[in-house]
Amino acid sequence: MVNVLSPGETDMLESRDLHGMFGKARIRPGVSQAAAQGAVNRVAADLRQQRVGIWRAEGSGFRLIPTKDTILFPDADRFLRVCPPYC
Amino acid sequence: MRTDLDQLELEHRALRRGLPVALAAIAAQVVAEARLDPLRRDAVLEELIAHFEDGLAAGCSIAELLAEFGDPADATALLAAATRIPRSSDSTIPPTRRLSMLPHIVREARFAVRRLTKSPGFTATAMLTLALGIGAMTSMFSLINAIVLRPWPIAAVDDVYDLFEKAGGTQPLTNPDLGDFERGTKDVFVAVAGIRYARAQAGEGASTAPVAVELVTGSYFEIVGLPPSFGRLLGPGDDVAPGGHPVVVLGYRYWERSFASDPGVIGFARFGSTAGRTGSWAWRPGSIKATCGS
Repeated sequence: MVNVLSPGETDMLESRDLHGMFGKARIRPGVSQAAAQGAVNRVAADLRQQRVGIWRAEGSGFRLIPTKDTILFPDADRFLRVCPPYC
Repeated sequence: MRTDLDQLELEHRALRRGLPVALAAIAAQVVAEARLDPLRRDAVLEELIAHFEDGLAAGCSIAELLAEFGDPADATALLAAATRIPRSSDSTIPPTRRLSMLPHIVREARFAVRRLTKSPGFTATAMLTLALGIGAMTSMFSLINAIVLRPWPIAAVDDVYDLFEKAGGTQPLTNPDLGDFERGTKDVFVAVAGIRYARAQAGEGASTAPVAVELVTGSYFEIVGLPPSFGRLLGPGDDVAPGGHPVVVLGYRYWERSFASDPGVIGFARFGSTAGRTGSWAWRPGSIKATCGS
């Protein structure tokens, strides 16, 4: 459906250059945010090893933010908050 | 003595406005003898001057205007009575008396309109200022209401997280990265979904209209965790075959507005840049926009 509604030269479902997918996840009961972030960091570390050249080595990864703390977008939210908790 | 001095002053003001002596005298006499408070007295004098000016501009003679005006004593009594009329919010006013205030309200409105039309620049500025102010306040409230005041249309929102890629700054993910993330975190997350914002065409033939849509993966409504008003939502089985299950979930307000809340829309709504047949379901009130499955 993505490629049907937004046709182009690049396959949006397969490309690792087109950053347009906003992720959302529901955590399992009993799992803390810290534990979830740990699991997320492990996935990111694996991807950095598997996809050298695509994932820039250091500093790249995933960022997990509670949905209720997101106003618009993390980089824009810092300007909307008096006290930015994620800067 | 004081009333005489007031009357002279009022008459001079009317004369300075170019009113003929006879009319200026009548206007001044009526206003002075009504013994109004200073603010109201000025407003009433202006109204009378404007009334006579309008009559002269319409081609009436002074004599005709005086005849139409009638006995100044009656006008004075009416004016004095008008200043003693209590407010309409006063519950002690009998209904018949409240009705009798209508002509006064109409007269006040006419006076306001007359004053405003005499100062078109001021009126335009005031109206523009009001329009901009009201528009800005409405926009601000809409934004604050949307992002702060309205409750999340998500069940147990404390358990839901937004996911971004970190590479220098923060950015959305790619579809393959989302898949890698989902496969690697199954022990931590119940469901992981991706959302892509796009525009689509709704309708058929020449009667299509652009709509904002969210293209989502099959687990999206597992995360949202709320039931539909009727029909069904997308599920993980809907995105197994790429392009194989083109389905749509309609936002409740969109369904009300564009389909007149017709439950028969299921199976007949068409979305997309091609004429693919789609199913459609109504989503509960106050929730997200129209959503297409990918």
